[in-house]
Amino acid sequence: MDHKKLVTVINIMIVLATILAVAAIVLPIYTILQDMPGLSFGEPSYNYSSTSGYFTLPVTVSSRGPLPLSDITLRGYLTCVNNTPLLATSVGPMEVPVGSTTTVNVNVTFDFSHLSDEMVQNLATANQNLSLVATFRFSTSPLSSYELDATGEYNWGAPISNLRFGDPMISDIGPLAYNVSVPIYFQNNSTFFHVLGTADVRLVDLNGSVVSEGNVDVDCPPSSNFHGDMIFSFNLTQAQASYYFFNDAILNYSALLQLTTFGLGIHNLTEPISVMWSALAKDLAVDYPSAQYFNTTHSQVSIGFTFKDNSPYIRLDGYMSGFLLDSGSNVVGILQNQNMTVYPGTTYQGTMMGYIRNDALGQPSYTVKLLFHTDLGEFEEEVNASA
Amino acid sequence: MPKLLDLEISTASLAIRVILGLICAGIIFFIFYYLPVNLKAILDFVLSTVVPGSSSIPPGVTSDVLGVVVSPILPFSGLVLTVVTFLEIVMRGTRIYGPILIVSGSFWLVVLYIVFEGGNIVFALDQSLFSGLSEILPSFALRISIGLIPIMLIFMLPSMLTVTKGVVLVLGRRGQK
Repeated sequence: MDHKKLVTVINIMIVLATILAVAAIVLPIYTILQDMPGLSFGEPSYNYSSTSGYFTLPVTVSSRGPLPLSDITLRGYLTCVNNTPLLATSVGPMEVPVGSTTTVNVNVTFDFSHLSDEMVQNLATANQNLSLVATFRFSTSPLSSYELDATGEYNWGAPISNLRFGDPMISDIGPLAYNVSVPIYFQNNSTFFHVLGTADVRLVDLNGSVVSEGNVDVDCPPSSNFHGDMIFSFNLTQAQASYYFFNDAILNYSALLQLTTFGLGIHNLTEPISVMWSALAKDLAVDYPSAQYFNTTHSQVSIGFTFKDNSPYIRLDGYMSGFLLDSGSNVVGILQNQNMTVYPGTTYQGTMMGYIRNDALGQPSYTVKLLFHTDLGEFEEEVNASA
Repeated sequence: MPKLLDLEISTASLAIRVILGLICAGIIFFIFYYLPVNLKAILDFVLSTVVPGSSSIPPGVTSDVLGVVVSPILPFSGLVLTVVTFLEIVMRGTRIYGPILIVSGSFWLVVLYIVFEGGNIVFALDQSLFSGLSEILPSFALRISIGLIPIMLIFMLPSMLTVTKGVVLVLGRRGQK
């Protein structure tokens, strides 16, 4: 071929190639601009089991441009120590031909079932950074491809952070029984976990025997604090009740908590708790009886007494009665009923009146047997009254 | 009539060639030298006047992105391309037109390879761009890859044909001798 004709042909090819080049850059841009309005998201749905969850988001992609969308792929992982995956999503690769519409479900899976108990406990209670890896890519075939790779660390907020018990308090008391209220606190530092479940709690004494059981409903939304009260009921024997009526005590227990919540399985906490018991008639003391002639067989007697209601919140209502005993524990006198109302934290002083046999007068000491008749039951205590 | 490397040409035609050459060279200079050198200042100006609140964009971000888009050797290549383009227009039809086309086409191939980053443009955006997410993402990096090899090859076609045309012209001129 004549080289001038060849040059002409090349010139034409250069023009065509230039037009092709312009088209090659315009087509992918035009395709993306046309396809973007065709991207829409459906209603997300959730599916939970005890140790896993599925979040599904329907995504609709319409290919309205001149080029098909192909190799649409999404991969994402959130991993904890040892690269153990906690969250995963995987879509595609898929293709959307020109002029068609495709709906794909983007599934994000949380799965804790394959984690060891230690790892679950650690995730439940310790804030930490988790590794995040995500890739999204697509092509406007055959001209261009696009890929986004994200790596980083996700700030995992522990859903049950700083779990602790508050100071136990006796919340209610009745005959031979009392209730103890134990506050429970924790912080939900997670941004998406709703801690919802029931915490079962058992109290065991120092011998390991279960003395009381209780539970508390837990409902703690993300990024909030939880405060609940667990109520434990205790039954007492008459001997125990009598002892606690007149004596302070520290009641030591171990609290065993099991909190079951979605995705985190069972969370255990064991913590010692001590209940401070305050006596209702502490430091009971009586004066030596003072007698006054009444008749040929008996004298009238008066005895001063004092005690302290050491409880910070229980009022003592009822009456007292009593007997005077000699050194041989024989009843030699009787004390009449004495009404009483003792306010919490106050010391009560009074005088009981009664009668003593004349033949028992003048002994160096007596035993005064005092009976407390109260709403909480009847309690008795013997106190020595010396001259 | 003046002679330009064996090519007889009228003064008016020469003047037109020079003017056309200067205009095309000016366009090439603007696109491949002035813009790459001043792109950051231009972008900052455009952002500050057009996009409200753009001052909140971290200072390193535009530099990071431009560092990828604009290769450091692009301005130098642009200067060379400016000269070659001017010569290509002025020397059209002369005996050195063929070699100039070969040089011009080759340079275009190089420049296109530089502009397209070998067909795979990669932006690595670091933490500074995502400072607002630092509470939930203490460290985060995003890497964007754009695969443009087919487009780059298509863009190279005219340049390859230009080189071919130069070779044909050189061979044709030798054949005439």
